[in-house]
Amino acid sequence: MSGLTDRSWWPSTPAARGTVADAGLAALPTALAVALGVVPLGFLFVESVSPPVTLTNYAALGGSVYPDVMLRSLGIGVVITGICLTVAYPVTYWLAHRCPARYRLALLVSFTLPLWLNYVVLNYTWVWILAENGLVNVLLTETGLADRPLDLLRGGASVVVGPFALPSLSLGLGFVHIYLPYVLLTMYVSMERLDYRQVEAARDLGAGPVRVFRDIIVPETYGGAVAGALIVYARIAGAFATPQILAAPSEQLIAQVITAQFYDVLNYPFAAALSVAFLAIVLVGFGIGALSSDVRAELGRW
Amino acid sequence: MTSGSSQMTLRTDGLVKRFGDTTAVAGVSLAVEPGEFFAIVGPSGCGKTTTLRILAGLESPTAGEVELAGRDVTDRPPRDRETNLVFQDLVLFPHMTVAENVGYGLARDGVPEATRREQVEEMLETVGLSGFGDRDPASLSGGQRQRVALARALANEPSVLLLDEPLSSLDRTLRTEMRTELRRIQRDVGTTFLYVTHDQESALSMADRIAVMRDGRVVESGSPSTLYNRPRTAFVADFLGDANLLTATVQGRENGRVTVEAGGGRFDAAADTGVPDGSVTIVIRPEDLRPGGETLSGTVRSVSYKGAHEEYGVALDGGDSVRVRTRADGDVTVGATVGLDVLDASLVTEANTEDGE
Amino acid sequence: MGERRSPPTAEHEQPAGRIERSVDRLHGGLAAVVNGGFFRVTVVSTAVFLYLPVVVVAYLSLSPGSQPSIPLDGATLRWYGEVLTDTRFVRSLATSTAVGAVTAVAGTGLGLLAARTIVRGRLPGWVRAGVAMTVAIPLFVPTVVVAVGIGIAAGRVGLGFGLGPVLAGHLYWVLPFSTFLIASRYATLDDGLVEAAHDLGADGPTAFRTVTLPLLWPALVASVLFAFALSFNEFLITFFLAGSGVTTMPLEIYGKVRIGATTFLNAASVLVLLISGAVAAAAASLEPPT
Repeated sequence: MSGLTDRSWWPSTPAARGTVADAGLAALPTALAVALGVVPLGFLFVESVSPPVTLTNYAALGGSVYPDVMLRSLGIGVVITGICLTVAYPVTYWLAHRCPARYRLALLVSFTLPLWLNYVVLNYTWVWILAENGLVNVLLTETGLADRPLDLLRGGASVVVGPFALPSLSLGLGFVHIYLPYVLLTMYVSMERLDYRQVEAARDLGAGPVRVFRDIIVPETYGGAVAGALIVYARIAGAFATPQILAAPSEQLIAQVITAQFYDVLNYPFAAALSVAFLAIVLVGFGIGALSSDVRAELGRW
Repeated sequence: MTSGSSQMTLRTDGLVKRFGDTTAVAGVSLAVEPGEFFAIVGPSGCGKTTTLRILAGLESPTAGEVELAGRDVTDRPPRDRETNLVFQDLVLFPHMTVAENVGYGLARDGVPEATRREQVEEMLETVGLSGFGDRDPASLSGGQRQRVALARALANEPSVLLLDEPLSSLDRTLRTEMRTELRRIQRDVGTTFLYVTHDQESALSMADRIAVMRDGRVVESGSPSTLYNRPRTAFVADFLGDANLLTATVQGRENGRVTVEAGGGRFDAAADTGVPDGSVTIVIRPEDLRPGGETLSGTVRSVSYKGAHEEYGVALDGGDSVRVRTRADGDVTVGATVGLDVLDASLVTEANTEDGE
Repeated sequence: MGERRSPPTAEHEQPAGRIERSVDRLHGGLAAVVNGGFFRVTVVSTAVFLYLPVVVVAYLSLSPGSQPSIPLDGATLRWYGEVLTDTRFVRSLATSTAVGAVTAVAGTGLGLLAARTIVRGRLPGWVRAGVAMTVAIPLFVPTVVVAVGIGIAAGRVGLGFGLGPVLAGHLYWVLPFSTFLIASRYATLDDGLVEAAHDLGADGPTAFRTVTLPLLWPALVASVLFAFALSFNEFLITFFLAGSGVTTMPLEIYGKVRIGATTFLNAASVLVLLISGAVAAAAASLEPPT
């Protein structure tokens, strides 16, 4: 092969130019994501072991109410996520496979509309349902079902079942109200992909509703369920405004404690240590969830 | 053919393309004449599409050169080449009308709106889509979309049109119809066509010349009839149609012909290449074996009716098996003894490339 | 009937079989009712659950008095007038709208760049994956951690607090959403489309303008609308970065909620829900969600 001019050692010019141009285009969003994502996490870590280098901030995490607060936050995250999934399963199944096609889009839009609304406002609306002079108490007393208003808003200490702290009624409703739409959306996406003929085949072979649910629906949609759980879990456990508005005084959550340390006590190092510890626990949870390739595929869609 | 001064010759010299450890193209040299319908044919993975993409400028070769009309265009981006490509999956712009698709290249060349509209309409007429300009590509049939893709690639008058198996998605009837159409359009516009396909039937029926590729190299090139009737390699013989390959011994030679002994008989075969001594391979097309002769004899093992003709599998007395194709007359039954005449045979080599490597 | 001619065994079994069959039928019918009813009840109560509180607040926003009581003793739009003439609320609404608009457009632009990098960038695979992961951080790190981190960093670097940091924080917050919204559309575009444009004589920017951009358009509009909604509603990051000078609508509402529930707040809430509801409606009318 005499006529060959070998240029393999030379980076072909257009390709090299393309790489440089694309790196330039990538720079702006990446710089923003690094400056406000990676750098602050670094600051957070450095702050958490200051002054100079110390672990006293982390040691302090073990004291006072902090372990309780942390556990309560995580527990409430689990409970609310579970409630959202329990509601989302039948609703999205019906929507994807039973709902008359002409209503489907309108219903899907109305179930996911709250994603676009302000959650501070949505949380506030529950005040008028649960307050002493709210809708429920007015109905109860007017109909004589109760002789005096019940303590529904920010009332009742949280009940602890095993490792999980149950949220108070108003906090639970407020959380489900703003996070259910996220779970409905992720679950709907994977419910829609479930081939309904599988359900029919199982029925044809004599499976009852429970078997169909266990053998067909759960395995086929579990990726969507875990993805939905991952999306809302950290937000529930790390919520600030919702507990500020709807939680009982006895059920402080971690974000409230962190914010208080940052804003009121001005103890940055301790706020940072709390944040880092909380982040570590959440990320470990994510790591376990993301181990499944189904879940990774599902999250990849987001 | 309107071969004017704008016509150019496409030439490549020792094109090589490596992707990591795999070599997709391993030294392809081609020369395409102005106004020619040239086909590159080969099995999938032989490097034909990569070669085409290098010609279009969509890939840059690891080594080698591409020349258009004597000018080296190897490093020119696709927009600066007077070649246009008809993509395998067409990739019509879904957000544009048929007319906007066809006029896209003209708009990039800065052709003013009014002229452009005229030229687009003319082009649509050429491909048989008059009046389809305002349609949405998605509303067209498969064959119509092919025509739009063709019109779009031809509209700004490239000197060479590259076609990457554009007919592969069509059903059989439509494909046959489009072949005739492609040939007609090529004659009408006089543009050089370079057509890449794995379908030897398309290549044989349309092309003026064919290059057969395998493993990144050109194995043989020539006119369809030469390649079909006088293949020089077993690979080309087999790839371009059904072939009986028999091992033979050379008994005598003169003027490009040899007398060989194969399958228990003795007959003549064409030998365009040098003839080695001893054992050689010869190819006989199934239709070149005529029952009722006496050169070879054997037993019919299978008969399959194909409509216009019949095919027999015959176990020759000399040991080999051959396929025989003849007009259907229903006379032959399995188990019968049959005598065969050899109407035509060619001696082939097993060599892989034109360079004789 | 045929009973007499039937074999004795069949005669014996028939009543039992009939009962069994009718029990089966009853069971099946019951199951169908329970099934159908179960789904209907769940779906309807979910819808009621999501919207009843909003309806109640809308109803209570019509109260003549500043402290509504159920049932209302009259209906008036007076408090909407109060809200719209309240300087603090109107200013916070203007701030949120302005921040939202800038964030929506700039965030979508940045999202487009990031999406292009992730889906089509002529860069090594690990670089593209790295960009995707970095952009996705706020999706997986709890918002309070992001907010404290940015707050501490802003304080330590000396950037301080105010409108600039709020804008940066909002851009950062919407970036993953717009990026992945646009990227999912980008990924469906055939590479060949841009190659075809180049082949027909378009240079890079022209191919982008004439082919890529129009095909991405629905995703870009959706991104602008969703980014606006995200920014308009964002609370926690703003809470940490706003300082004393800047008050966005969610901060203003939050402050009032902490003081107490009033008809004024109900009317303000309804207005806010109407604004973001209108943005959502615009998005829904664009293209059915997939």
